[in-house]
Amino acid sequence: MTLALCFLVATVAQETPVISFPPGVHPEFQRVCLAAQLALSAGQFDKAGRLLDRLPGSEIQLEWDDRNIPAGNRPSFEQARDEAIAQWARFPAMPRVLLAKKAAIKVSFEPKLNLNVATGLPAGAVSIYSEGTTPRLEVVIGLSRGVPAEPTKPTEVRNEIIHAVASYLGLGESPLFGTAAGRTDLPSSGRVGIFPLELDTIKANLAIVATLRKAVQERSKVVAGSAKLATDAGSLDAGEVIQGQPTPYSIQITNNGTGVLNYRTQGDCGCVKAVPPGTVKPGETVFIRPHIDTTDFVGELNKKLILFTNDTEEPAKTFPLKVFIRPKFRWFAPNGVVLVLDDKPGTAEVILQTPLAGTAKTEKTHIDGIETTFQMLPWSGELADPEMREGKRARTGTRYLITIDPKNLTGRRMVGVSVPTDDRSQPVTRTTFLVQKGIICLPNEVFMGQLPAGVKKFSTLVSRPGKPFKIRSATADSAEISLKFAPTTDSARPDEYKLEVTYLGKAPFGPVTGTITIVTDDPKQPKLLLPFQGTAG
Amino acid sequence: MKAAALFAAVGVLSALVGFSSQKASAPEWTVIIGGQTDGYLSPCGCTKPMSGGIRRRVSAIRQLATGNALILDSGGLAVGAGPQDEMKADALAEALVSAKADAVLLSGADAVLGVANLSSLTTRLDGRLLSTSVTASDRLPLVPSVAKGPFAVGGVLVNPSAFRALGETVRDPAEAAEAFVAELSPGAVPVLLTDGGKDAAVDLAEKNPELRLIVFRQTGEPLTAPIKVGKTLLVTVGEQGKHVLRFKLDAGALTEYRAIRLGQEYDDDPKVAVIHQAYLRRVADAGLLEALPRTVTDRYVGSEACLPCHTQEHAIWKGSRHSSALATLEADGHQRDPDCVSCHVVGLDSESGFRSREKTPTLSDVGCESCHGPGERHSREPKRFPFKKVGEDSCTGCHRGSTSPNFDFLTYWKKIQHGPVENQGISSGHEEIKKTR
Repeated sequence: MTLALCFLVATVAQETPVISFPPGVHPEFQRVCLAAQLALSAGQFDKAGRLLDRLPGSEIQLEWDDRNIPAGNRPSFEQARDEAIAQWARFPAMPRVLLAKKAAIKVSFEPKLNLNVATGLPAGAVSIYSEGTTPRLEVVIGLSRGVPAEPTKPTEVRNEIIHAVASYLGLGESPLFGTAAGRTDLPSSGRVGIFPLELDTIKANLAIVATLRKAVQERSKVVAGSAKLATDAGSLDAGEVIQGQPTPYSIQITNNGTGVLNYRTQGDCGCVKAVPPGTVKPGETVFIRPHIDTTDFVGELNKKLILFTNDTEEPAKTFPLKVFIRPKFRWFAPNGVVLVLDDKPGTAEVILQTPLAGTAKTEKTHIDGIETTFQMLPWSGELADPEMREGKRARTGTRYLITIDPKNLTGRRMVGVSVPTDDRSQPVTRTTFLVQKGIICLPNEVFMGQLPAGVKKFSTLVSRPGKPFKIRSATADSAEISLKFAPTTDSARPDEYKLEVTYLGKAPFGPVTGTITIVTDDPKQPKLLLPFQGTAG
Repeated sequence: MKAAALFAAVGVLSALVGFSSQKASAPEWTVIIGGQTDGYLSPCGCTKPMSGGIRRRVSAIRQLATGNALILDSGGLAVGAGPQDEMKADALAEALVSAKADAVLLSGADAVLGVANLSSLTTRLDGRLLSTSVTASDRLPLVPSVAKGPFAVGGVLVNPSAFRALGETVRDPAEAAEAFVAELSPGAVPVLLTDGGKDAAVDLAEKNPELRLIVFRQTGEPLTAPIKVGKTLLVTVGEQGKHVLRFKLDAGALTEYRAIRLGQEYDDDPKVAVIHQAYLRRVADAGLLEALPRTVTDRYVGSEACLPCHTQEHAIWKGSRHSSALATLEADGHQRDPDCVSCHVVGLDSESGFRSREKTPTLSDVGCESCHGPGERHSREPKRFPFKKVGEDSCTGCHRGSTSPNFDFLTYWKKIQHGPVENQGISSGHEEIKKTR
C-alpha cells in the first residue's frame, strides 16, 4: 500500500471521507485544502471548486519568461529548464510538466535579488504564491548569487525549477540540500534530486486533491482537521553504553489538534536509527523509540533526530541525542608509542585490556611490520585513559612484551599488533607502535607541495633521543633552497637538531625535487639523505 | 499584493546601497570558524550527498571573508599516528595557509603526531599554530595567542597530559585560560578555542567572564544558536569539519551567528583542489594501500566466478552502481587512498583480496563477495558450503552516516534486489524491516 493511501481514511461515515496531510506538506498547500474543505462543509461548492483550481492536477503548466536573460545564456538556461522538466517526467505518478503561456507556474529572471534574511545572502530565487490569479506561483531567479556575486549557472536554474515544481506540488521546504525541497541561495554546482520520501508526500497530496475535487463534483463534504504536536522531551541523553549496544531513547508524541497527526523521522547520520512513519489520532499519545547504532564510535557522541509532522507550526522538530560510548577493545602503551634502539635488542610493551564485551582471541595474535619475538602474559594493574575520561583505575588484560632485534632495522618503522575477535563488527582489534634506530630525520622527507612565488619555509627534526651527536654540515643538490640547522636541546651534547629548509621562491614552473645531505660525527651514520619535493607555479 | 511583494524582494539596490554607505564608517568584522577536522580531509567522491572537506571549506571561507575577517580553525589536525595521518596534517596545514587562517588550535589529540611532525607543522603553518597551554620552544614554536583587529585569540587544551608525556611544558586548563585573560589589552574581544567539550567550555566561561566567545569540541552538528553563559557565547563547529560558523562583530558584540553546512552547493576551491591532488599523489606514491595489513581468510574468487550458476543475479549486479564502484573513486583520484578503497573493492583486508585493478581485476568494484564473504569454497562445492545469507548489517559497514547520509535500506535494497523470491529478505535484518514498516 502506498503512503499516499495511508493518509486517506474513509471511516467517519460512509459518505464522508477524512483527509489528513502527510508529514513534509507545504503550509500553503495545506491552507488551501483546509479552506476548500471548509467551503464544502458550508455548502459553498463553487467557492471550493475555485480554491481547488489553485492546486495541481494531472498536468502542470509552466510559463518561461526569458526577457531578462542575456542572449548568450538563453540556450543553456533553456536546456537546464528542460532537464528539470525531464526529472519530473521520470516518475509516471507525477503530473506532466508542460510549457505554456499564462500558466500556473511562471519562471522569470532579475539581475539581482534582495537579501534573504534567513541566510544573510542575496536570495538565489524568490517564490510568491498569489490568490486566485495566474500565475499561482511566480518564481523569480536571480541572474547572480553569492557574495561576491557570481553569475547564475545553468545547474542552479535547473535546481530552482525542480524546487518550484516541488513547492507547487505541496512539498514543504526541507533543511536537506540535494533534495527536491531543499534549496540554497549559495552558488552551487550540485544537482538536486527527487527523493522517494518526497514522492510519497506528493502522492499523498495529490490523493487529497482528488478527494476534494470528487467531493465538489458530488456536492458532498469532507472531514479535515489540524494536527497539533506536543512532545515530552527537548533532548535525550542515553548516559554511557558499551560500543555496539543500542541507546535507549524514548519520545512521547501527543496530538492536541483536531486532525490526525502524521509523522516520520530522519536522523542526521546513518547511525541514527529512526522509526517507521506513523499516525497519532487527536487526543492520543504514542511513544517512539529511535536509537543510535554505536558500533562505529567511541567517546562522546552527539547526533540529531528530526521529527517531521503535518503540524504547520512545527513541521520539523529536532531532538539532540547524546551518549558516551566506551570501547569494547582497548589498548594501552604505558611506556609510550616509540621504542628507540641502539645496537642491542629492545622490548616494547603494549597491553590489551580484557574486552568489555566479546572475546579477543589472543592465541591468534599476529605482529606485522618487522620481525619480532613476543611474550603474552596475564596482566593486572592501574592505568588511566584520559580520552575515555577515566582516571587511574584497576584493570586486567593481556600484556605483550615484543622484542625487536635492531640488526635489520634502519630509520623508523611502524609495528602492528592484531588480535582476532569474535565480534562481527570488529573482527580484528589492532594497535601500532613505532620503533627507531640511530639518527633519523622526521618527517623523513620535506614535502613542499604547491610552491607559491615567494619564500616559504619547511623544517624537519634530526634526532637520536638520549644519544648525543653533531651535525657537521647540511647541503642540498638544488640552488632553489637554502638550509639552516641548530640544536633544539643542550647545545653542548645535542641529541636533536632542527633543520630549516627555505624555498627561495625563484624556481621556474615545474617540479622542485632533490636531496639534502646531512653529514654527522657518527662513524656508523656519517651521512643522512633527506629527499625534498614540491611543484613551483 | 504580489507586485508589492516582488518589489520588496527583487533588486531594490538603491536601498541596499544607502544602507551600506551609512554603515561604511564603522569597521565591520566577520569571524569565520572551521575545524575539528579529525582526519576527514575530503569526501571520497563516492556519494554526492557527502558533506565537508577542505576544498569546500576554503571555498566557503573565501565567500564569507569579505572585508575585515578573523579566520579561526578549532583544530583536530590528526586522529591517528601513521604516514597517512601525517600527510593529511600537511595538506590541511597547506589549505589553512591558503585560506589565510589567523590561528589554528593545537588539540590534545594532535600529540599523536609526535613532536617532530608537529615541529614541521609549526613551520608549515608559519606562526598560526596556537596553544596557550603548551609552552613554546625552539622545536615547537607555538604562538600563545593571536591578535588581529579588535580580537585576541587563545587556545586551551583541556587534557594536556599527552603533551606532558612528550616532554613538553604544559599548563593546566584553568591556569592557561587565566594567563590568556590576564594579558588582554583593554577593549579587546577575547575568543578562546578549546579542545574540551561543552561542560569544560561552560566551566571556562564561568571562571573567565571576560571571554566573549568559546569554541568547543562536540560530535554531531553545530548548535542552532550559541549557548550563553553570562556574556560569553559558546559554539561548536561539529564533527569532521563539515560546517563553518560565522559571526559579525557589531559594536563590540558578536551577532548574526550562522552555522553553514558544507554541502555540495559549495564548489571546490581551485587552489586547495591542487593541494588535495598533491596529497592524493603523495598517498599513492608512498604505496600506503600496498602496505595495509592483511589477514589470512578463505579465498576470494571474484564476481565472474558466480556467473555460470547465478546468471540473473550477476546481471542485476552488473547493472548496479556496485559494479563500477572503483571507477567512482578513480574519477576523483581516490583510487589508491586507503581511507576510501576498502568500500569500493572486494576483500582489501585479506591476503587473497584486492591489490590493484591490474593485478586483481575481478576483485575491483563492490562484488558478490563484498557482502556474502569469500566464495572460493562455495564455488567449488556449492551445496556443502552454501553462500552466507546477509541482511542490512552487511550494507551499513560501508553505507554509514558520513559516507552515505541518505541510506535507507528498503530504498537501496530495491536497487540490487536479487536471489530467489522465497529467499529474499529472510535474514533477521530483512525480517525486522518488514515487520516495522
